[in-house]
Amino acid sequence: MDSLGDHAIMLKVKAGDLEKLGLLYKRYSKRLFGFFYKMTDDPGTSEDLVQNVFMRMMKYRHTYSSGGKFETWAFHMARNVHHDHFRKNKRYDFQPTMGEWNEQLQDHDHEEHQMIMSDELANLNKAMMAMPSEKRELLELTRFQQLKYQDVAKLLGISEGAVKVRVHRALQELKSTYLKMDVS
Amino acid sequence: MKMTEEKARQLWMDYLSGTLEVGQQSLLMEFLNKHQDLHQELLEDERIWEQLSQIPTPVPSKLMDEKFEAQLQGYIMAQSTRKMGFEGLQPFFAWLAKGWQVGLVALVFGFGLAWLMPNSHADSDQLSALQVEMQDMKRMMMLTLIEQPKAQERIKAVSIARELPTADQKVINMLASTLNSDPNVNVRLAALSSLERYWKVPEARQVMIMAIGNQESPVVQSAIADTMLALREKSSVQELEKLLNGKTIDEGVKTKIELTIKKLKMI
Repeated sequence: MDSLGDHAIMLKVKAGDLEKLGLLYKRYSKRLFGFFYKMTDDPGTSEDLVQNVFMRMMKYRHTYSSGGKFETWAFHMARNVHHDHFRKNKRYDFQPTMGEWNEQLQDHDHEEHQMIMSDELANLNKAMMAMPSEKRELLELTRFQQLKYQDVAKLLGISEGAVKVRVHRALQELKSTYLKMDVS
Repeated sequence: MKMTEEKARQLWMDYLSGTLEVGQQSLLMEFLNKHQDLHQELLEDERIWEQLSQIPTPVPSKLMDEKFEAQLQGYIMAQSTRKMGFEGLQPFFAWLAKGWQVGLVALVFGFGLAWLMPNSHADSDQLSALQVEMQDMKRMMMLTLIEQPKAQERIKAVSIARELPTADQKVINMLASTLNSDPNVNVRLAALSSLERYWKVPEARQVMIMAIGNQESPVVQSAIADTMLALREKSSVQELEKLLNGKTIDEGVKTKIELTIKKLKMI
């Protein structure tokens, strides 16, 4: 069964074999957690949102297209879940200044998630977290989740070329912020 | 293709993701050799791109997996209850489901407390309790359905038995009784299939072996023979031989049983 592709497994789930969703959970839960973590910077919230994604998959399994790609569908669900969460919780409905971000990061007490990073990487991470949500999402999807540009294009409803341009701009913005931090 | 700075930036993104074709790569490099400033800028972008991959991401807690499993089982349970249209038990299962949700909240709360008290094992206890509750719900539904007059409902009961993570003596007994004495062939076949799921349990294997002599339906006899061969159950040979010698047996099945015995002896 493990040799079955994601798409074939999801078609089984769609046909009513709900237990098979567990296989997809094993394959995707960590990736989705990573996505939400980058978007919320909160491990607890990220875990809850991963649960929400899979509950939605069960609930809306009939909408899964037989000609679709599970990975794209999963991240489509994840984006919707994140947007809903964002609307309901206006906690990060603002763009903090770099100073605020520094304070926030210092105040964070994620003992279980403390990461050992070089100063360089820590600064890059701060710069990443300081980016506007939509740009951070683009870098997360293409760089960390390694989705293909054409799949991200489908997710965002724009052309593949436009995705590349936006990712490149996001990368340049990240670089600019990072270099400022590096100097200071 | 006319190369522009905009196009070069797009191709560079393909290059970074490893999807740039060789021909395009040559064109890009040729262009960048003539535009050193842009080349330098893109090389800096590449450095950031590579560094990004080194930022570690924390891993989710085990609680996330456990919560998912509980939610999945709860959802499946709710679905199967609804499909069965078992209206008489609906309020009961709704109550159970409510209890499960309360249990889950308590579980999360319990984990919070456990976190504050490092020596406490409340979290694992809560989880175990939740899992036991889920399995009890399934068992209860199974034992209720197996008593129903409709064969379709009895098939659902044995199917639930197949979904359980482990089979205790009560479940094995129920499946054994169904395989040996249910009047409907399809229910007996479903029971055999559920017993097969527990092939690692010695009692389940024994039940299947002992059921050979009780079967009169050629379909079930043939299915058990297939199962014995699939499980490479050599100890079933004696019962299969008894079946051959003791009763009037369908000619087609007789040949199959003889072949099965031969193959089992060769294992």
